[in-house]
Amino acid sequence: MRKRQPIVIKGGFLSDDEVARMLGISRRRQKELDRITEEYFREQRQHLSKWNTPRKGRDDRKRPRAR
Amino acid sequence: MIANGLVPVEPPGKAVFLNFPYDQQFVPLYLAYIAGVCSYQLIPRVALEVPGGQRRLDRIIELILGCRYSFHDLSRVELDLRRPRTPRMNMPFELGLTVMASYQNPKEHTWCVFEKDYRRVLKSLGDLAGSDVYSHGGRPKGVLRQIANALVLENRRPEMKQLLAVHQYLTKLLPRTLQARGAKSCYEASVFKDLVYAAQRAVKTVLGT
Repeated sequence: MRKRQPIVIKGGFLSDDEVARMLGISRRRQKELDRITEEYFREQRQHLSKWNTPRKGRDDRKRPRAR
Repeated sequence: MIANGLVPVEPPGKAVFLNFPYDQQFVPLYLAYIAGVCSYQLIPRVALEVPGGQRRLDRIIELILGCRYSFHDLSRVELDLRRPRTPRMNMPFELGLTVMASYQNPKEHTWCVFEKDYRRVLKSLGDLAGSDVYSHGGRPKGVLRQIANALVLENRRPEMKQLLAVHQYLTKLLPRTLQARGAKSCYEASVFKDLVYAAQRAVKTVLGT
């Protein structure tokens, strides 16, 4: 096998509108997908921040205690 | 280029033609290709977008010629389980079309071959000896790793955990998209387009751009 030469990609991202137009996605569906994506990553960030908080700062009292 | 009712492929420098099998077992890798390609600021295009009919082949060729790059996955070139049991030749056929097109315009098209194990290609398609083959081991992480080997961005390098985050998101999104589109398979054009749009949106969120 000859040595691989990676492909260098130049330039930045296409805008969301350009991508939607290129794919033929309607404005309504585009907004819906934007909302779903934002919601998912916001939940992910919240989940991560919960577990990244030091133990002292957590409000463990909300959990039911084992008896 | 909007002839034959195709969605225009523009700008051509950003489009990647993906050539892979449309079967249920391939779904995790299908999502990995979308996540990986979008992470490198490119837009995947597939033959799924081309409607059937007499001129389907013309339209596929037109789509390939409209893309600056193409990735060909030959990992499932095998006998189809459904009767009559025939080998699956669409992927090598479309690779052949691409190779010919790139010989005519070497500066306008670059192709890459992906396989589960590169030794399989040496056996099944010996004519490719001496060409680059990216072995992904049949796993989504392998596909993402090999896309990262095949592509380099000028200004940054996406981390594996970022690529995996986008792939994980697409995996979560898929059932919802199937329901929203009333689709039975993820290999329907409308589902593919939703996944591509959502992937490039997710990449921007993950990278904070």
